[in-house]
Amino acid sequence: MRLLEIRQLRSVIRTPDGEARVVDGVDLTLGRGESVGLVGESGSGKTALALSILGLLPRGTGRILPGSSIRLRGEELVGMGEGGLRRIRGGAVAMVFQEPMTALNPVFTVGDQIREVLRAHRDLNRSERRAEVARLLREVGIPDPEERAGAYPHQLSGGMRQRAAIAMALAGRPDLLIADEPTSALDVSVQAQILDLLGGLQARHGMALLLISHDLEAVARVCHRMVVFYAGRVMESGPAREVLSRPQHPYTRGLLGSRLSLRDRRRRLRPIPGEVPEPESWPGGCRFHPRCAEAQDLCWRKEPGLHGMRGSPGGEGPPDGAEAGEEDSHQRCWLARGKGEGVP
Amino acid sequence: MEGGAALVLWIALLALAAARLDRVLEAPGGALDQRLALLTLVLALGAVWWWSWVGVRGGGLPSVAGRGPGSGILPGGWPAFRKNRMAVLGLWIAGILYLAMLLAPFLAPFDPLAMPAFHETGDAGMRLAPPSRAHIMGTDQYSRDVLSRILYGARISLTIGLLAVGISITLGTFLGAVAGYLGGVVDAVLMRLLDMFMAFPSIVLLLAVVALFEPSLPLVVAALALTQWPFTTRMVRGEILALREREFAEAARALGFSRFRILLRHLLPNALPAVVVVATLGVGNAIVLEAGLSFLGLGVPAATPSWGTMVDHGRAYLLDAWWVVTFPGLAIVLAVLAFNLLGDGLRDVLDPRQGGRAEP
Repeated sequence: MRLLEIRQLRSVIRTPDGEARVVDGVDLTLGRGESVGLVGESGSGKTALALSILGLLPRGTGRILPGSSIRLRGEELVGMGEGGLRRIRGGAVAMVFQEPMTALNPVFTVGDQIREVLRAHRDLNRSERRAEVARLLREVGIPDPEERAGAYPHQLSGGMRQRAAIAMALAGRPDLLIADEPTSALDVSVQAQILDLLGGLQARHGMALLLISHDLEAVARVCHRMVVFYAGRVMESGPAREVLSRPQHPYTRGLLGSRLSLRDRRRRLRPIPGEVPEPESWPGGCRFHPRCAEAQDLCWRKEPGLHGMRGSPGGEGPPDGAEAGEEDSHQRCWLARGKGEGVP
Repeated sequence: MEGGAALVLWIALLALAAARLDRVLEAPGGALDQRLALLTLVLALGAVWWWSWVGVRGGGLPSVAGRGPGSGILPGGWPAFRKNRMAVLGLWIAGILYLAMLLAPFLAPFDPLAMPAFHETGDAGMRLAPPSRAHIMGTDQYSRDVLSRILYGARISLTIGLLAVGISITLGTFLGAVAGYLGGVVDAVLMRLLDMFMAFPSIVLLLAVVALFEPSLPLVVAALALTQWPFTTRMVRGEILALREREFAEAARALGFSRFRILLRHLLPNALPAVVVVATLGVGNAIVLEAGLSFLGLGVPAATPSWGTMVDHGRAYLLDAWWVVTFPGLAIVLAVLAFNLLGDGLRDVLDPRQGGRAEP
């Protein structure tokens, strides 16, 4: 049994222009202790996927369509009552948000906020809680944890705040940590530190990590597997390093081409033209075809399915506990399929 | 320093209260006024105790030593408040008025209700006597000492102001929080009810309510609270609506806290600064409204010394005896000014949107 099994997840958010299918038929599995990176542009539905797992789509306007399935340790989360979800949120599944300034409550000390999570999800007495707060703060690399526990969020730097937010997420001893763009709001100098911290914690605790980012290299640094997301669908997935070094889908190549690189200064920046379409009006055929330079007739007539490429060379071995097969690469492109099938 | 002074003040207050409880409780307004006096005494003791505790513990209001001033609720902290001279002035005036009201039985040179008969004073000279050494603010048409009546009147005005605001703030915060957080039908129904209340000018609503019943102190308090709660409710609802969209509210949901807990622990404390400001400004407003009611003869029972009543009774003699009207009038102005200054100052310190909150 995998830790998290998402099958045919479709989530919609009601907008004035109609229902937007922000997540549209996604399959995703995470083994225990596996780390998966979810990459894509803003508006591609990455955050909606994460919020769907926790049942946190906007109340009133967002919902998961019937037929979807999200199983955590075999337990179905779709359709689960608020009480059950509350037990899981912050417990088995915790989340770290993008903006550490606004994700912490400004009127309480970070120690208070961590204690509150401990009170909600763990059975500890006063002195144990106190010790645990200090231990958690130390674990996320905050110096002087006893003293810093008494600091208010505005008294900490951005990086320290994000570390405190990670400590809060760890407080419930989650099996799965979802980090939604955890470094985007931080100084460049701090980004790598936070990524390494997340990677280290993931390895040390045997915790699964779902890292949402638009930065492919950041994901490759921390994650075993990478899933490229576009217009509510998975476009490509596979071992992180392999996707980075041998991207199959034109969209993935486009993402890589839009990166600034110091190593290769002469390389021309090739941004993807256009923008992510509005979720109310995903294009027919391949959802990427209006922006794809290699698009052909077939691409706008018929949408390709996710196509597996078993035993792709160069991939690293699966982490402990992950079944073979999950490590396979998949892509959703007619062209790559032709090439992929040509190469044994 | 500060803590020590506060501690001494607290001990002095306590000793005074213990030694002369009978005089503290000696209240012209009857049993209810007596209870109010006791309540204010307890509150004052509590406040001073808190002040001294904070002072003794070190370094003003809560802050993390060496890491810049201010707690989360008080971003600028005590130092920022102290820099605002007008607010500090308001705090002083309000504090002095409060003390005067508490200690009225000791400070008042005469019985505020005593109407000396002609045979006691020998002649009619004590009626409308101008300010003199014995009667610093003169006497009124019944030969009562104006200063004494103003001091006792402070009890009525301030307690009515504080109680009315206390009730309306409690009610308003609760209803506003519920409406803002639950939204939907609850919100719609509450807001329409509120619109109905707000459609009436406060003073008209106030007059209508008060005119229906026998004038009494609790009635005035209730009527004032009734006209004030819609404003608090509106404001708190707006705050909660804005706060619940903030990321920390979502983060709190992602950590598995219940809705009630999120509202109580995460949203309300963040709305508190605005509530404090509205409450402080509301006290000034309530004092004016009470004075207006009493001026129209619809406030507290006639014999009770109240600033509004004094102005009302004295206005007939305005040309012959200016002091009867002027001093209570000044008292009203001073009290309202104090609370408005304090409220404005608190807004400057507490409300980050008005600027002044420096990023660390």
